[in-house]
Amino acid sequence: MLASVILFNNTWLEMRVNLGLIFFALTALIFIALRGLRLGKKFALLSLIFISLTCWLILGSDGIAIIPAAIIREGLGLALSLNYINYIIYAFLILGWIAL
Amino acid sequence: MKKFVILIMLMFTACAACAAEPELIVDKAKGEVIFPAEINGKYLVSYTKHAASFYKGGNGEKSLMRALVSELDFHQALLDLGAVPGDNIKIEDMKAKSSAEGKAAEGSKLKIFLTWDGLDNEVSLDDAIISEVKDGEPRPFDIRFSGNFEFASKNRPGCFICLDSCAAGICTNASWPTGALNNQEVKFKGNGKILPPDGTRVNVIVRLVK
Repeated sequence: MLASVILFNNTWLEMRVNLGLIFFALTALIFIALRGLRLGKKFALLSLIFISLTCWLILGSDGIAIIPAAIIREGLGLALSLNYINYIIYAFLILGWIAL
Repeated sequence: MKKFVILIMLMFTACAACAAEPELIVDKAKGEVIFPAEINGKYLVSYTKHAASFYKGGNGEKSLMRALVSELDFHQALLDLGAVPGDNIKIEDMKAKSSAEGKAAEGSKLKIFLTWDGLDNEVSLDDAIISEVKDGEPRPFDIRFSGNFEFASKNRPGCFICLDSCAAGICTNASWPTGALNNQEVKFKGNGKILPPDGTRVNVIVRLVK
């Protein structure tokens, strides 16, 4: 997500590329690269704090509630509401935490 | 279980069939075209060069408003209204490095307004969109019927209204010639203080200036 947000900040790129597809491609690549590793709750918590904080610094308070959800919506190609996508993100974070 | 799934699918199909199909309205007496669109909340907090694009087009998700009808029908509607396309911007013109080198859109002059449920009046494009200018003052929108039918029908970017002069949009803004965005002379985003939130259905009114 952080990589997609950094790319999003470049207006020229954002206007020409589906950053949602880049987000899903990067997620799949990271998932494959880290497959089999047990990173633990400490790593998960630290990476969550680091990514959230950096995204907030880049996007600001208004942007953090909208841009990540909008990137995912663009990748999905569905006209879902941004609030709905945010709820799904929260559900993934909570379920991921429980699964660790 | 299988029957239950089929029942649910039938219910969804019935609901979809019952839902009113979005329409493009051409009112020759008033000299206006009205098309339905949805606000994309992303561009209330970030920059875009598109005011409205067809949601199935290449720029459907890159625009402040997702138009729910085709841009090609919109082009025909403006012709029906008596508007004359400029067709003067070519794709090579989009490579201009600054507005000084660029070309401004031509064609019949149009005024654009937005309205939505719960709003008593109309909001002009000048109020709906914030222009952040590098040097100088924001310029009022000078929207023209650029045409660009050949490019639009061949490439299907979906562009209804571009916020600078452009080779792809059916309507584009003559206030900012091509090259202005390449040189970052101006940036545009939706006015979150005026526009409704993400997903709100709006009607975009395009009036021919006589």
